[in-house]
Amino acid sequence: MNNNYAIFIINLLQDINILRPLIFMANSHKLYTEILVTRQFSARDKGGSWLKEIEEIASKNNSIIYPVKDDSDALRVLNRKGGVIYAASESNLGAHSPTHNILKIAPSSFTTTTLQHGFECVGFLQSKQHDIAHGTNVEFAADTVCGWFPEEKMKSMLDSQKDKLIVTGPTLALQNTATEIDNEIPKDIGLICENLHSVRLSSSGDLKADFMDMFEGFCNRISEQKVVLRPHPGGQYVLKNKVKLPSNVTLVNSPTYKVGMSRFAYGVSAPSSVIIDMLLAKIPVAVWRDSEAVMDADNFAGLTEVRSIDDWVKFL
Amino acid sequence: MNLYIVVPSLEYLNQAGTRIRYRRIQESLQSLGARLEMVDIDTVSLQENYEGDLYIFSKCYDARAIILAKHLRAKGKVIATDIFDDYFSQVNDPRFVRLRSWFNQLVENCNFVLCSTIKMQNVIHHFYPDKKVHVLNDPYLCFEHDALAETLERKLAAAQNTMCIKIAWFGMGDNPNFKVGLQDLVAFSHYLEPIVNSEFKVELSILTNKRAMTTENLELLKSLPINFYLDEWTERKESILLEESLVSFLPVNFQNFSIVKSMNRAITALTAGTQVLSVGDDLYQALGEFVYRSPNDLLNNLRSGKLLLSSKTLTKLDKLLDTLANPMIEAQKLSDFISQFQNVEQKHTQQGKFVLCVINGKESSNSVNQLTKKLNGLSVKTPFTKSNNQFDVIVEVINNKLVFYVKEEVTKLLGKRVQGYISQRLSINKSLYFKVNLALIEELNCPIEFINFGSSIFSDTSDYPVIVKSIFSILEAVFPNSELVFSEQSKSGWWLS
Repeated sequence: MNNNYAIFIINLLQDINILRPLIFMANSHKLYTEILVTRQFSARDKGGSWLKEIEEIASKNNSIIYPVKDDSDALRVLNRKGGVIYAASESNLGAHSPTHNILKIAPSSFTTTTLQHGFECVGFLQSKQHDIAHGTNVEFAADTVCGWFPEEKMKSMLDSQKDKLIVTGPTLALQNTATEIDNEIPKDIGLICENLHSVRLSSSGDLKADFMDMFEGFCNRISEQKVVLRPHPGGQYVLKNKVKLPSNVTLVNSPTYKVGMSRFAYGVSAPSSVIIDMLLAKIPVAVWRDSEAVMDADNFAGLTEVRSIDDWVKFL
Repeated sequence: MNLYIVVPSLEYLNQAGTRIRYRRIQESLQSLGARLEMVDIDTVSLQENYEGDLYIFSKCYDARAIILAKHLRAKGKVIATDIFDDYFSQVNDPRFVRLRSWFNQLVENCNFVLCSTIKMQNVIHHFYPDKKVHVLNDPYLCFEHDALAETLERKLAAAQNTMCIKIAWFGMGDNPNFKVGLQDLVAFSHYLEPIVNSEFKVELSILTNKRAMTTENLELLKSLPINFYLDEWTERKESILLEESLVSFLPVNFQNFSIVKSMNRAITALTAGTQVLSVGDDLYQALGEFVYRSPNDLLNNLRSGKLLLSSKTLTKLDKLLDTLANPMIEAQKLSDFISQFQNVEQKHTQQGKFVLCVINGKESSNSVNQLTKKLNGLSVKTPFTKSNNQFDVIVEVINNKLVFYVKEEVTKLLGKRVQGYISQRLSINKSLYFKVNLALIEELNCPIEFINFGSSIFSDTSDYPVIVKSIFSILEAVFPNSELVFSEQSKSGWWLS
């Protein structure tokens, strides 16, 4: 049996961004890289643009892509192989079940690993709204979980899961490989990121309108300047809901690794891992909160908060 | 004699059970002058002329089999049912009440019952001591002595030269009602440990059905003491796997369902040239000298080059299989058995002499209703029936009392006196119905008042058997010469006393 396999499971659209650096790394370590793409991913990737990203990554790393319909399909790929399996989003939550189940059934010739896929991340570090939406008993099927911080900062990690923890930091820190920044994207202007699909904006009442109203008000106040709006890759709220945007807004929907955050003059987002991306890109960052501060942003304490149009404008 | 095997749907015509059990004796029966055909139940019911002399219902676990059996008997046909799964002896298990009720009704209309093992025959005789039961062993596909001898020698040499034991597990990996298949494989896998810990390398290949490959089962497989290769079963993959494997591992658990199973897996394994290691229940006892019960015996024999199944022992196996699985002999025995029914006088000999009433329980499929209509039977809606089909007879509970409605065109089938008890005409679902005043039927000796009906699920459950029984009594009272069939597919807690 050949144990030199690094297998990557892609189930959510945003998994690609998390796993990408590891696929490059595994290939550079002469491992056979294989990518399992779940049926649910294909359903989410309606335009097929994310599959193109996967194909691009695969072609650069000699990876084989396997579309898998179900667990037994996945097992057929894993049969008679060994090595390591990476999942970027895996837990006992419903949306993660395809990856959760594959890790459950993976042959014992594999070590299975789940990556913390965001700063606030279910099973690792949750906000109040995560707790409300998903509960506080999040478990992993993986043998090991790669986290961003030591155990004491993983406020949401169950004791039963702590022995699995290996502190590696985010894969974002490895994002230095053959990245082709999209030069068409405007620079030196503000970047606003929306994650309106997130439970953060719906578990304690609907805060989506609050965000959009403030965003529109802000755009109108700085109507002479342009801003970039970037929808969350997995959520795509403004696109899915065909939200009408002010005329000075440019929509950018490229994968994070092609955006090049440092091109922007500043960034604003509701609590989200993209804030960490922007911090690492060394641009000024503000955290958006609803005007009543219902949304939990404790994990982002210390950063500038904007809770009104005035706050936004003042932040500039 | 023309034999028709009646299966529940077209898909069953290609299933392993049909393939192994019926197709393998088809040719031999032909040479004995009996024609065997397989047909799905809906096709049979559409036939204008029923060409078969004998109809054997196989796996038709709903009321269609009972309805058709009654109908065909009335046409002078010989009726049987083939039972190879024990869903009947679990008398404490309420999930099977519907199947026991089904079997009870069907068996009454059968001239005999067919089954695949002596143990299954014992189960049937336990419930129906007087019923004629014939054991039709599952026959092997072929037994090619010379080719098999060569295969066996090749496999032995390969195992000794490569020091590798290739083990196969194949077949249905699950059952909707019982823990079997892959769960047995895992539960008995510790028997493989001596082989895994021996000087031989071990390769385990598993071929099973897609439905069995649930996350739960696949996760279980992780606890096998060896790595394995898993693939979806096909006939072709099975034959390639057995061609390559030295041993078939056949664990059998001890539950009623499993211990009456046929020996076809072991016979397939042996006639494909693999050794058989069987653990758990000694299902393959009759094949005794060709079946390993201990992995250590297998290892020792492999070391000494004297495996139980070898080119030297093939003649003996051939002879043994003559009594257990030879298609020609099985066909002959079946042919001899059924010859006694050739000139049998059936209970009903003229069509139309009885009124067929199909009483629909909580869950009764549309296909049952369609067949009822096709055979000019009456479909009866009980207060429990969920379906919104058009029914010929509707029984409801109104103001705590059973109320009985018959459709306009059905009134002519009512007994003469009962026609005088019609008290009201009304439209239900755009059809005209007539209400029969049950209080006026003097000979009716059954409860028709149910004071708690509809007040809770508990009262409805306890009323269920009584109401159904009352409906039986009412139907018998109002329709002279009625034949009643009860159609119930619900698995939820209910019973008929």
